[in-house]
Amino acid sequence: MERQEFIEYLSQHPALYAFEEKGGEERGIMVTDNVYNTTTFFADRAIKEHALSFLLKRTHHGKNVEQITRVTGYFSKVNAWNKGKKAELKDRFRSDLEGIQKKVSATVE
Amino acid sequence: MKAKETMDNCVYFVKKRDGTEVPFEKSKIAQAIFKAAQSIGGQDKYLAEDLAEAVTLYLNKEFAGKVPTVEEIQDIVESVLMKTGHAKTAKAYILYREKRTRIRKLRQGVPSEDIVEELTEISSIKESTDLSLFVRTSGENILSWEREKIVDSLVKESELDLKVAQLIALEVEKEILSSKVKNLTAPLIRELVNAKLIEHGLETARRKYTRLGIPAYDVRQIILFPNKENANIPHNPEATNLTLAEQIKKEFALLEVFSPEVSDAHLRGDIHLHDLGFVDRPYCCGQSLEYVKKFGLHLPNALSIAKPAKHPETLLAHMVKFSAALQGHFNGAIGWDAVNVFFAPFLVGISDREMKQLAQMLIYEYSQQAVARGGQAIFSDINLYWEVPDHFLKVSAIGPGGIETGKTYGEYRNEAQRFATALFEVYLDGDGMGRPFFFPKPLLHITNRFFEDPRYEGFLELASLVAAEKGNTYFVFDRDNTARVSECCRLSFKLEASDLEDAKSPWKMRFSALQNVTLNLPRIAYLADHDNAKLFELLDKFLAISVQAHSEKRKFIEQILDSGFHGPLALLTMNLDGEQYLRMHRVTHLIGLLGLNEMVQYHTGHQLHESEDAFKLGLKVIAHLKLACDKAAEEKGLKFVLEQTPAESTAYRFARLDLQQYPKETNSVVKGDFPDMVYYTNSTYLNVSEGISPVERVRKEGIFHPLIEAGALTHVWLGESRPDERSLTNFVQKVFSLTKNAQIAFSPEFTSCLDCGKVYRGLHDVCPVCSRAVSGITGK
Repeated sequence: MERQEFIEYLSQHPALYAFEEKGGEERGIMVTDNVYNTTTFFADRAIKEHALSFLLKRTHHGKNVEQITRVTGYFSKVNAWNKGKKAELKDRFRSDLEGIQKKVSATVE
Repeated sequence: MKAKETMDNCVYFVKKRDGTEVPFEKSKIAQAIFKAAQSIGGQDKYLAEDLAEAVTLYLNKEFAGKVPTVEEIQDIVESVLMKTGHAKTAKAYILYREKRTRIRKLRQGVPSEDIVEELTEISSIKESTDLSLFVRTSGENILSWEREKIVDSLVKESELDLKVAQLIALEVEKEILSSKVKNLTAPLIRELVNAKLIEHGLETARRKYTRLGIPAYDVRQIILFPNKENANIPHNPEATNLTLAEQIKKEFALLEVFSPEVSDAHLRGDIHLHDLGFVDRPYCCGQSLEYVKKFGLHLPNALSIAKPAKHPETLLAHMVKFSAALQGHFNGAIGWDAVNVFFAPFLVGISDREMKQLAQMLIYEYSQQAVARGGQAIFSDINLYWEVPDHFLKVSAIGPGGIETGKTYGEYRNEAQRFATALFEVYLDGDGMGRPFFFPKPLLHITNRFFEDPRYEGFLELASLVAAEKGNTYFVFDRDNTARVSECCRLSFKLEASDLEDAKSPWKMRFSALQNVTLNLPRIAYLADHDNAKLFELLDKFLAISVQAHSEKRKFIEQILDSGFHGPLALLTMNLDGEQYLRMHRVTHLIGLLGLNEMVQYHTGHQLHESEDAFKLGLKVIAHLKLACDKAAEEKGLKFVLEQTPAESTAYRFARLDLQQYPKETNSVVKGDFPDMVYYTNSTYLNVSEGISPVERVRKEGIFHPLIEAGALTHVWLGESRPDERSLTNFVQKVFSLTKNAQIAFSPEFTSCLDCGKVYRGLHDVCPVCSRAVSGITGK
């Protein structure tokens, strides 16, 4: 997309994004995503190459995920669990029926 | 001859102001002294009791063999307080006495002089200021100040005497005027009135005059931020409506439905009364599709009535709609018995494609119903059988149009099996993104006859494949002629002889649990302080208060049901087959278990899995409770059964309350991370973090299951791993034949990326694809 269009879009959504134009070695735009709490640098050549929806997703840094497993007797999304249940999830000893497996690797906060 | 006159030199009776004589009670004196002490910041209950003892000794000396009047006793209290150096408390006591006297005189129509003075003084203020006060009411209007409104409401709601109400209203008016408050609202006035009622010692009236409500700050939080108490509640306007309503009903329940004794036990955290926000409905239910097949949808106060379905799709629609209606009348799970068996007469001659389509409709209808009550999905369960269970084998089948087909359910085995297979195929596919369906939960019953039909192998492998791949399947083991309808997180209704009789008219097979009350087992251990006898004594005590809680809720529900067709639970009173839909005689009352592991850990120094003695104590505790439930059931004529509480929020709540109230004890056993990511181990489970092999865990936990009639379940947490379905099949068969375990479920974990739509096994913080570097884009 065009650099100017990208800037326009960002400035129309000030609650979600803050941005700063960067010069120097590589010209581009530094975007802060307020929801995912990330900062991403988009070089002008990358902006030119990709569509808006692609660019915006890059500000998520892959964090737009839902973790799903059984809470007690039913499946649900982990982000909605209370702190006690999250603590239990961290502690759960996973097993593959044959042997015993490692604990969870994701940070459950 | 009156016995009291001949007795020794003690005081046994007191003459009340109206001349009647009542037994002397030392505790009443202690209470009065304590109240006076409290009003000036005193907190020592034991001191109050000691002082009451002193008063009693004094009384016995002064009034040996006589009957003192209340006034005389009060004089002695005053003098004892003064003499023992409690001048401040004495003053408070005198003040309290005076206030009571004023109110009493006012009631008797002979107001004391100061009141007359006060009344004239206040009314003169009103005349001189020509009140230009306005009140913002909860009825969305602004009204000019009328003192009489307070008087009227006090008389109506708190049953106060008119004169007392007038005095209170006048005093409140005086305070409002002197405070020069500008923004006067009805809730504020009510609180001012309540403060005045306390001042006059009118505690009963204050209780009745209570306002239930929510601080503005809390409402803002509820509207703007997600609810984390229950993972099944999304965050949207419908969901916040539910939360707000629950809040008020919860307060109402604790104030009016339950006695102060039960409410306090809940608030302290001795017990947990589940879902108080749903106090005006029963807890959960299991139904029969036969009811819908036979009667159609003929619901009270409905806008339209549907005759019995003629097509499978219509039957499906009726089932889902009835579930939604029930969701509005029950708190939790809506379970359906033998769904594939009862659908079978509608499925004769349909193609595999149609069969799969129908299965897909059923699962999607339930899994996408997160648009109903409170934006919640219907907590739904479908019980499935491979073999037609014994109790339905020879029962006459109901077909399209609600008409008996002339065949028995045993003759529809083929259709029932094809439908069960189609349902599991849909579960295997998962939703549009390949994620597991959250609802309806498929509960596959395995009876001894499951293995009769040699084709069971292929089917069991399919159900196991679903368990390995998506985790949905619950394997319910009905060994040796036990039959049950399962629902909720693990709840099941064990069918008794009378139910098996009902099976001949299967539409009658509908069950409900009225309420769940969970015991804080670790706390019992803390209080028992390693004393075995005391531990069991306390178990009885905690159980007794839970039984009382059940009686109180039952009474409230019965009262609502009594208003029948015109009452709020009209749906449950509908009577299409000669009895009320909600069959109160078949209702169970659940006693939930929580933290057995921490209980035995505190008591013996070892967790359930750590020593044989600890495990034995655990068994002894649960067996004791089971017997105590049976005994209570016999005494009260109600069914009390143990349940493994799902305890999604209770495991957290009890742990936090105990950390506050018994920090040292709790610290030594509580699980999780400090300060606030803490929990107790659910129900009778072994420590979840221990590397116990699945077979051993299932076997050991299963030893408890026969004692826990309302349902028990062992989890096998798979995490990222994806076991081979054949080893899972073997595992299930082993559990069936070698253990007493009642139910198992395998739980894999998933991460679903909303940006790229991929689903990964295991819990990940970020999507591996979407977090990958792209040329020209760098981030942190």
